[in-house]
Amino acid sequence: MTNAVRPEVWAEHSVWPQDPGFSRALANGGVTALQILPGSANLFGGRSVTLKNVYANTVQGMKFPGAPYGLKMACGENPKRTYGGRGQMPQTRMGNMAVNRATWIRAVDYKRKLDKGETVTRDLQMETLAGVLSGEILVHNHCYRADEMAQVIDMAKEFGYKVTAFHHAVEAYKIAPLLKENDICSAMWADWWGFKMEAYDAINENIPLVHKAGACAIVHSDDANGIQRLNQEAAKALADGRRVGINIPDEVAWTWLSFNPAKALGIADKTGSLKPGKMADVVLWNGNPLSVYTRPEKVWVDGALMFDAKDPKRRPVSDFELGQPGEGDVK
Amino acid sequence: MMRALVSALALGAASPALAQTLAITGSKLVIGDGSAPIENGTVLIINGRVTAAGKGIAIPAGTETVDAKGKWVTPGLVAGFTRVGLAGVDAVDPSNDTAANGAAFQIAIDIAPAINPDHPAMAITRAAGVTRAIVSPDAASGAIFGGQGAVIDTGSDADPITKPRAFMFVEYGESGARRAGGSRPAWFAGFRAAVAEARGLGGENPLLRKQDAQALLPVVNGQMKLLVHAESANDIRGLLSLKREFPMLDLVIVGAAEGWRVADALAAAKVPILASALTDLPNSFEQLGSTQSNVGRMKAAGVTVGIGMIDDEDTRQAQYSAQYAGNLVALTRVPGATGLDWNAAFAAISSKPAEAIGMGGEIGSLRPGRRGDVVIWDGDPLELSSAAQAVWIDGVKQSLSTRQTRLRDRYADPAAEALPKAYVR
Repeated sequence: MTNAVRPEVWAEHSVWPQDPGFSRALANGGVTALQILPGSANLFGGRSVTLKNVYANTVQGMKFPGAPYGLKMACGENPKRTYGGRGQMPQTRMGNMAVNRATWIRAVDYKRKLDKGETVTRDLQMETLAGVLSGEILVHNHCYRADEMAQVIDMAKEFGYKVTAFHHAVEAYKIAPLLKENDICSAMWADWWGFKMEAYDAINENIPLVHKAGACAIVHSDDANGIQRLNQEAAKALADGRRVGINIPDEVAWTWLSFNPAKALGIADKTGSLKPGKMADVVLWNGNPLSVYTRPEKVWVDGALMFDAKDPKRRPVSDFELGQPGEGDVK
Repeated sequence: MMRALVSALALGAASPALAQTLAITGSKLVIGDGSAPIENGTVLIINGRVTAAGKGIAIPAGTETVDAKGKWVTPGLVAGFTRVGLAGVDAVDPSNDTAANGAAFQIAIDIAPAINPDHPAMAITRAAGVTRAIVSPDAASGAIFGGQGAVIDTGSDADPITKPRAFMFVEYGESGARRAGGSRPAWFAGFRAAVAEARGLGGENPLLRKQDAQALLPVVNGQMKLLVHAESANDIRGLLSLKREFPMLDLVIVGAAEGWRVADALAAAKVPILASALTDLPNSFEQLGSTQSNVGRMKAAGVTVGIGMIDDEDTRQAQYSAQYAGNLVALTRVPGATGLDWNAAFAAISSKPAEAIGMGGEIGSLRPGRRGDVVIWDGDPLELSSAAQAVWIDGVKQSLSTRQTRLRDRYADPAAEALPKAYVR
């Protein structure tokens, strides 16, 4: 929150490999890979990192091999409020767009010099943005309102980059055909709503309506608790859709938390489905995973058994929790 | 709620919308008191109250009957600790009455007038089968006392208050220590001073305004429940010692992430808990021992535990009550974990929070004499795929339409129509 343009920061430099949350996501949620993004106070938040959900002493030991970086961007209230409260740009949504476009102008110029083989002083901000323009870094854009997503889509066309996914996207249902047309995923909650104005029009059928329009739908969490119940969030959204006649089969809805997020993270050729040749990232559930009564029984990552509900020795306990009350007994 | 009904009946306006006498038949019937569901059960509501529920109930001639064959019927859920009705949009300060950081008063604050049936959270909560809620103010940044909370209904009429001034809310633990000036001992000193001033035993330089001291007297006398937020085992022990010091306090503990570590002491002291069901992360040093087995272990030790949602989207998401309870059932199938069986899990979102707040005789179950709060579900109410299909509060059928369902219907078909979406209603 020191400048609205911070593409030079990398989330991996802040990841705490001993975070107890990894074990909860594994044991309760069956999560085998996850993207961690910078926050949304800035228009350009910095690089995201994709990890395998396996504890290591270093973040380097957790990184998903071959996963591309993402760039976190943010629309709307958060950058507007963070800087507007200080009387700084961007103070408004039009300020958001003006700062965004001015920054992309610099990035296009930087990339042009690189492409021409000119010598440039390394610029961490511009390196990341040039990576976006060349398609190596995927844009993950926090954006709630339909009208703002449409503005971002126009901006991406103006500067020649692609938005991979809108995050939160609570009004995606209002522009689902536009999202399909531009091949943009929406990473959504099942039923979060109303905590701020830009979340006021959230509806429980957002995910099924986006899916029905043929656009890429993802169930996400943005939350240390929600990541433990992505399967339950998908189940709620699926049921809400069916009640209004959107009949999506269970196995298709599962793509919301497996194949589609893998696609948005640029790792769908490596994980996200059980096709031959892919990494053996597998969950054995003790029942139908779309039921509230079901939990992971075993979780394998790259074929290694990392959690077994029946074997206490296959339950990770982070350094932080060792010797503390409960010792990370998440159940 | 009742006032509106009485006037309507006095005018002879016994329209179907106001029918207070009905029988719902043929369902899988859940009483809500921890007993097992009854197949082919009937619940009979006369004049807005449950008069009978079970098998083979005689239905008086002329009673409106609703056939619920193949459905589940339960009491309306009771959200154990919320701030529903206190905020339109949390981040929009003028619509948010949860706390008053600039107020001259703390204990004297009575949230009842702020409860707004027009806030969208009320309809959304109601549509999720939650018919009653324990609604608490939050403490201001420099105060340990939040003020007096209420028990409400989520009905669409103009009078949401079931019981005003039902309890006093106090922050203890890390948050309370910070508010008291930076330590737990400072909190205890402040609490004791407040009790003394309520009893008229304050010194020359009182800490409390006269109105605050007066408002605390019913708490000190044990006439008003005292809901205290605490999470760690040590902080819970501290509150139990406070209760020994002031035996009149009618203490209920909220949150209680480490309650399992002091479960026997809680059971012995007969202190009920409004627990956060799924807290399992060491988010703070007072929650190091968080585990999803917390509720199950406390219940097994004999503690009265209802599910509450303190600081967990508590202005809006009481609709998670059933999902949280379902998750506690899931734990019964996990080796080494302690959950709740289905009947106990349902009670944790119906009769148990009602009992914790001292209103088990009024709400939270379908035992005779309780208010006619009834929900018909299209399946197991704790399951993710189920939804409330019909809701009655005090025997009055409720609308399940919300802003969200209206927006959904407007955008169900994304195709362009003759007129813009703004004309589609």
